[in-house]
Amino acid sequence: MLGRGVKRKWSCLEELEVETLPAAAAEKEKNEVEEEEQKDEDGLLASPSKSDMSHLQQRQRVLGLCLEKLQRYQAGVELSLRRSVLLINTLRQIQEDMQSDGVGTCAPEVLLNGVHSDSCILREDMPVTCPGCAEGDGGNLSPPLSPESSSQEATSSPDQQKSLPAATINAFSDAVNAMGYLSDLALDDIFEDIDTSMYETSDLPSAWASSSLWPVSVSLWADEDVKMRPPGHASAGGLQSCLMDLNELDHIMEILDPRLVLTEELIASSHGSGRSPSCLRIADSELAEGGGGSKGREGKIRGGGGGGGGVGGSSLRHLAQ
Amino acid sequence: MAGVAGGNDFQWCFSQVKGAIDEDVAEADIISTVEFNYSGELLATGDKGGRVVIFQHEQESKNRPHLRGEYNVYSTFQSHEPEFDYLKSLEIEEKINKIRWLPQQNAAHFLLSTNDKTIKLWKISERDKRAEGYNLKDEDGRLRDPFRITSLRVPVLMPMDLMVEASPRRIFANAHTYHINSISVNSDHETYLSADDLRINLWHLEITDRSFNIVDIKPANMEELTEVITAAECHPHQCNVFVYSSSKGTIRLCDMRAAALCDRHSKFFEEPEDPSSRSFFSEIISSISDVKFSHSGRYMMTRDYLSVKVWDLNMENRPVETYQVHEYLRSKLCSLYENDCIFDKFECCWNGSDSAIMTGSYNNFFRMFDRNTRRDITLEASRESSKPRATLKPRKVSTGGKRKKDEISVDSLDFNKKILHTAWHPKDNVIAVAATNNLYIFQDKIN
Repeated sequence: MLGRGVKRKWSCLEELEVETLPAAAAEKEKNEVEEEEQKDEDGLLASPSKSDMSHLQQRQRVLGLCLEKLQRYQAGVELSLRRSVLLINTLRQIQEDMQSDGVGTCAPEVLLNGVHSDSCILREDMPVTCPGCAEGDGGNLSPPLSPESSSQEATSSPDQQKSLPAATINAFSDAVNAMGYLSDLALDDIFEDIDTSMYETSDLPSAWASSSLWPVSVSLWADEDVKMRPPGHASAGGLQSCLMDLNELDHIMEILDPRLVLTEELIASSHGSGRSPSCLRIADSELAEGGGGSKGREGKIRGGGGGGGGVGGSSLRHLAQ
Repeated sequence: MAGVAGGNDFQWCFSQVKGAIDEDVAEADIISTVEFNYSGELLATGDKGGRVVIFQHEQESKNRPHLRGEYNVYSTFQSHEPEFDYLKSLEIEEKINKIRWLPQQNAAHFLLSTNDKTIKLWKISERDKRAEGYNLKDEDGRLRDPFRITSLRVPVLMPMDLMVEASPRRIFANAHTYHINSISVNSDHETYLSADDLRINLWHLEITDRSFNIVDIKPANMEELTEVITAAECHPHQCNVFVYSSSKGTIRLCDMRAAALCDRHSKFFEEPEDPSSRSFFSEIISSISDVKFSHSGRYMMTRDYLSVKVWDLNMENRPVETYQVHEYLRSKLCSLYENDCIFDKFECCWNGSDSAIMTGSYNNFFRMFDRNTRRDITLEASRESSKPRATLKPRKVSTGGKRKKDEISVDSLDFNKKILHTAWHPKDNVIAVAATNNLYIFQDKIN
């Protein structure tokens, strides 16, 4: 359990968070009223205008909202391919923006954070590029990485992500990269880290703990990173914004959560267990397709597309769940 | 006859409002599409409850010569019912996404209506006579014993009260995996196209079990998907030509003579982005929500979130005209993104002579642009000004600085009151404006 002192601080922080981070607040509410679109109730705009908001703050807010909207979307409340494609493209744009930012404008100490937040976006981008298509396309999308290449990339990835002028990488290869990075980690370890670190906040410098709402995320990276980051060093604004970026890990982990299972499956199917899981997947989606009669062959005059329809269909089904 | 308003030529005045006045609006009553037929005699609306209501223009009465006659309910029918796809665990909404009339060819009228998945062809016909004098049935309608019928009686047609019947003639189902956003009847009057997020199908109006997939932008790997089809329309005169717009703000013109599959476009319309106005929302607001050919077929108009553009089909690199619909919202995009308004799909329409265009905005405002004089006007569809023949007062939204009298500030706009669907009579200056659950009809004032 949390130490007593920390706990008190925590609750204060939580309140503070509710005020300063509408996205995070909405996140919490969402869990309670999943299907209510509380935001849409008030049509009037009562939020600060863009001019008041710095670029970073706006980016942070848009990012938070993006994730929130995508999550709500994944819950199957609402289905619009147009909307989700626009959201994902926005997310990609933010990612690019962060990458160019992380390399170009941040102070060295902040750079580390910046890179980390980028890499977390990368990882989050992996599940997000395919809202609902992941399952459906699991069939024809054989895991993009062979185990060897994934481990290769994973070992090199921390360096890569620090040194590459990230803007030059396109979003998709990032996603693939991220996938490789992810798949190398033992999935259990990730969660182990989260769970333990959650309760080890008292070990961290108190300033760090107090400014990071989710010290959880720290444990995702090498320990020395944490130590290399003396809390006082970075300028207040830069640190804060980066910490805000870090806070997004909370969202990201929530998104990752169900996805990790999927990734695991993909990995499993690429490993020695043979291709049966993904084959089953194809069969499943085609079954759903044909049985649903939602798009029989008669609608198509091209050969390859029929299976595609099935994929789309089953992805929708996934979304609805 | 072109004028939009404001000048000496004419002014818009209130004609009618349809729908309940209640404050709390039932979701099912929200109007989701409005469409005049080719003559303008009929006006159809579809709603989220799957109903289609058709209004008919009544001839002007001699008592009130100043009025050009009103639109009254002609026929109401349930076009689509809510369905459930058990295999996909998906609800299929009954909401009518689009209505398109077919050109009239006999006494009956035909229209196509569609929800997310299924398109239906409806016949609307009148009956004012009925056959009487059958002796095959008794008074209760039961068949009589054939052995007891001893004489042959020929039924006669007797006049009766006019009855309007709507009957489904064709059901075009199971061809769309994604949500249908557009249907468009071709100028050959035999075929029509239907577009969903990723595909466009071509149908024959008589054949329901087969359609041709003419565009398919679905990538083999859905992770590579970055663009969806947002609207599509057939050219008004050339039956081989159609256009479709995308969520990236581009329009592709395809020629079906070039190939059966129009994955490769013939023309590609795109305006280069202005780097100075780039933001996180650039792509979202450039997504095209509607595309409409002019009646002449020379131009097309596209609506994106903040503007409406007129394109000459012969010039692909930029629009010939750009009109700002509500530029003052540019500074509010973050909030509009937060409350999801930024994903609203506003439609647009031409007047009968292609000299003016109309599109909707928030706060029950709608905008008209005169292409010749470049004048524009903002009008409001509201109960307050809905007295017979009341002239519509132009509205103004203050854009920064001091708010003048009669102006409304951006912050007090009601974003729940949005006008997404409007229609302009094909010949006269009569417009229909859908404001949530109300349909407003305005016309020009005859001085």
